[in-house]
Amino acid sequence: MRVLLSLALGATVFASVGAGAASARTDATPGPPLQTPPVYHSANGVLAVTIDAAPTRVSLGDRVIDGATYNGSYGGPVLRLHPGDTLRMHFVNHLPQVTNVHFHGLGVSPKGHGDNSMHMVKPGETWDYIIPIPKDHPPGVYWYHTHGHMAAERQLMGGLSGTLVIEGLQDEVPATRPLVERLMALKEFSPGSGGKLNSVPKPVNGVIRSINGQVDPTIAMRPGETQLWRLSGQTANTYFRLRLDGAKVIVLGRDARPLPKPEPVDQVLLGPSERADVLVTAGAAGSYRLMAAALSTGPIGDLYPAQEIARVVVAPDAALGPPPVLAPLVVNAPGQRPIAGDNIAAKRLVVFSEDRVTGLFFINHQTFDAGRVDVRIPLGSIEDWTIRNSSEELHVFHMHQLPFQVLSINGKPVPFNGLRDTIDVPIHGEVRLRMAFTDPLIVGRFMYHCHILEHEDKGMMAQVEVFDPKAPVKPDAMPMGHHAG
Amino acid sequence: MRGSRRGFYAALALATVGVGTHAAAQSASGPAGGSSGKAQTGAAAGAAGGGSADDMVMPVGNWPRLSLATIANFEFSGLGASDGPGRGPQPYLRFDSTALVDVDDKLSFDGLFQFKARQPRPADDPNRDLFINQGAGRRVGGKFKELYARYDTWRVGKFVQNFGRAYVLLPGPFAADFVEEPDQGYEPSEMLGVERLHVFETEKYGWQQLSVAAFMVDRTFLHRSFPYDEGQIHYRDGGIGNTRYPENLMVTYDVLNAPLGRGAQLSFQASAIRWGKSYNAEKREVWTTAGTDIAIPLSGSVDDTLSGRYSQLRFYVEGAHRSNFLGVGHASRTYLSGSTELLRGRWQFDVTTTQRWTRDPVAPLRKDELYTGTVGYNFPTQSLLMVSFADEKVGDRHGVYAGIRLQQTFTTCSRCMAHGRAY
Repeated sequence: MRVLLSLALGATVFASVGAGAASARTDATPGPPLQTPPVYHSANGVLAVTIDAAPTRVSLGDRVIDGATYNGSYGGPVLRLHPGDTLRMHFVNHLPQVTNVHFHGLGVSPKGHGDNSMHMVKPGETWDYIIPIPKDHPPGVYWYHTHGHMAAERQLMGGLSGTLVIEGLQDEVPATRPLVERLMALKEFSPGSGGKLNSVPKPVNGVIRSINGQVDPTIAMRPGETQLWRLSGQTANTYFRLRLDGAKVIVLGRDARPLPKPEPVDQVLLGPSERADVLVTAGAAGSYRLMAAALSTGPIGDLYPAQEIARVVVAPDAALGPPPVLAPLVVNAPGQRPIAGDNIAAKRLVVFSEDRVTGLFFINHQTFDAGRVDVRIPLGSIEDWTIRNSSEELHVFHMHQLPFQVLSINGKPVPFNGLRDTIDVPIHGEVRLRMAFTDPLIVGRFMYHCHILEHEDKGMMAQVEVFDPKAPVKPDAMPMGHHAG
Repeated sequence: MRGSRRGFYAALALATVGVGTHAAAQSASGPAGGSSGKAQTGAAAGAAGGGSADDMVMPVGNWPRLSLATIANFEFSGLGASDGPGRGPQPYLRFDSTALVDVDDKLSFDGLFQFKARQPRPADDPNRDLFINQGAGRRVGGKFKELYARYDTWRVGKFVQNFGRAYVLLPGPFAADFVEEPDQGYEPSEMLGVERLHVFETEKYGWQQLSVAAFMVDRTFLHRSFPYDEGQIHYRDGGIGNTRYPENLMVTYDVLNAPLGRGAQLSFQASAIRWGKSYNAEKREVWTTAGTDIAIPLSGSVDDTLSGRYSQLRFYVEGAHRSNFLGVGHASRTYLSGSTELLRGRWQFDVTTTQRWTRDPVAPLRKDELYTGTVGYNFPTQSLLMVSFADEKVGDRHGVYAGIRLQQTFTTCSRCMAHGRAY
């Protein structure tokens, strides 16, 4: 009996430790106001910025951690450009290991000094990213982050990411023009001893979730006020189930693009790398907890404890007066239309699987190999891809350089409500996608992978090459093949 | 990944089935069928020589990589025998530690160190065959159950052959009692050998692989354990697989996670081993097995999963046959196992049975039966608490068993850099 009692007590202690890892603030003292990280705006069609990646001691809540940041900002410098601008990023690697930058979601060239995730910047070296943003590029919230294979999980947890905004959402959804806009970079860190990142950075070893590098900040609103919250899941592994009592929440956009039909929700699900534009309308005056609810990523996945990630304080502001009333939502996003399916060039199957013993993750049997092109696609092709999850935890499919349309999930058709660049793949499930490899800008090699970066680092990534069949054939060009799925 | 749900058993299952996949993953041709080493070499050479902006500097490297994990089991259990001595509640600690060193993309070294009860029950205990593989009340010893090198699609060393899955996939801590280990069950452990794996290219109907192995009993010092020493085996000790040379041959075909629609997935294995004739044996044994499991998500949407409501039903059935059992002509042992497991959020429920028939040229047919049930709960701390019951009949002996087990996973390192500096 004593042993049984001990076991029960042990279990209780374990449970308590797990819950305590969230370190949510429970007192009534409001935290510091939510702040936006440093913002760099384009001028005269150019945003020229130097970004230094460097080890950084970071204050995160009541802890000091060993982070790795861009320009010293754990929340990440914000880059704001307009369609037609050019981003010139002089990138300096002060880290003790290789790294690079990927511009997540942008439909730009993967070659050369563009969004070239294959190119690694060695310690002490520099690289110039030159990213012309097309004039017709969809506006929205994108983000840039490290894409160093086998190092991305740890580097991103350290803080190597930032928000990138292509201006214009307020033109596509005029009702948002008078609203307060808040950029919110959601991040995670698994602290070990002395503030170092855990050797196994998992929620079981503790996790600190933050917004713009702030733990449990305060967000001020007025009763009845609607604000535009532009959330980006700048996490390596963590999902968010965000809930805010006393408020009305409408998901206005996903993955940088406004939804043709905005969706009222009672919680916002946000996986690693996913973004959501959310309209939040405050209720009566009071103090409300913005909660990241407890969640699980599956039987062999991770269990995350609940955590208060912000306090929303709703109070009248005499200086500002009553908030503007939200106008009817009219969405005018010309890029948000279904991809034509009358000429499908190929159907492909992508299977996510994993081996728990070796700790490796696979796409179609294989771990990532930078020297191997897994799929070659002629420019102009529209293809249907089936993404299958053969494991007992969630995966997040992401395709570089182009968005896709979700056709069905587990065989159930999904009505079109906007293009995406990431999609969650259910356990043992299948997601069918349609992709248009039609933009000449994307000619070149780029990746598709699971955006849970632990999985990506351990192999769950593959390479696609889009080639122009009309271009002169190089001597070493490979024959085209496709994998009829 | 969290290791606690199916714990050590599931981990070992994948060790058996998927251990070669790393190598396969590195060597199999691309699914597009369009890539070639020549072209890739050309691209790399161009990058190196030209220094253009299209350079591909990948991969990052940082080899070797280390992985270390331990699954500890603390058990408190007792046996009530219908006749003869029972066993009062006793504590028992067992642990399994895995170490993996990835030297590069193709070469790795894997080890599984197992610390568990090894001392046989007293010869004068009439119930010594009841729950023969259970630990409490016996002296413990640790040794490497597996220690091997893997290169590309090959592995060489000491490892459990990929024959049968029931001894690692049956849910619940006592469910595999009849089928574990090579003397009484059909787990080809304690073998040294070499294995070649072939993974079929298409994954449309699931991950399909063929493995071929040649092996023999480990007669090296690796067979010894500490502090309780099982001793070292010699050729003249005989026993299954104890041949002079690695002349025991296995062929196994696996299908993993073949989609059945509506999220259901099926795995299947068929395998055969032609054993060599060991010292003083009358006949060589031949083992055959076939087994399948079906996993059916009941509530498996992304929302359900994230909300902790994921639920899944899994059915498992496997049969195995040993002809010329223990080297005796016309003797045989046949096994049939079945289980049903329900995962619901953090809870798991399972029931399992194994029926075992032993035929002998002179002795009458003997039928053994095992029934178990387990309720488990996962804590966020990689801890799994299980309460299990079992009812077992071996020959004319019968007993019931009850126990509580706490399984704790400790992951020390997961493909950590062995040298060099992370940020």
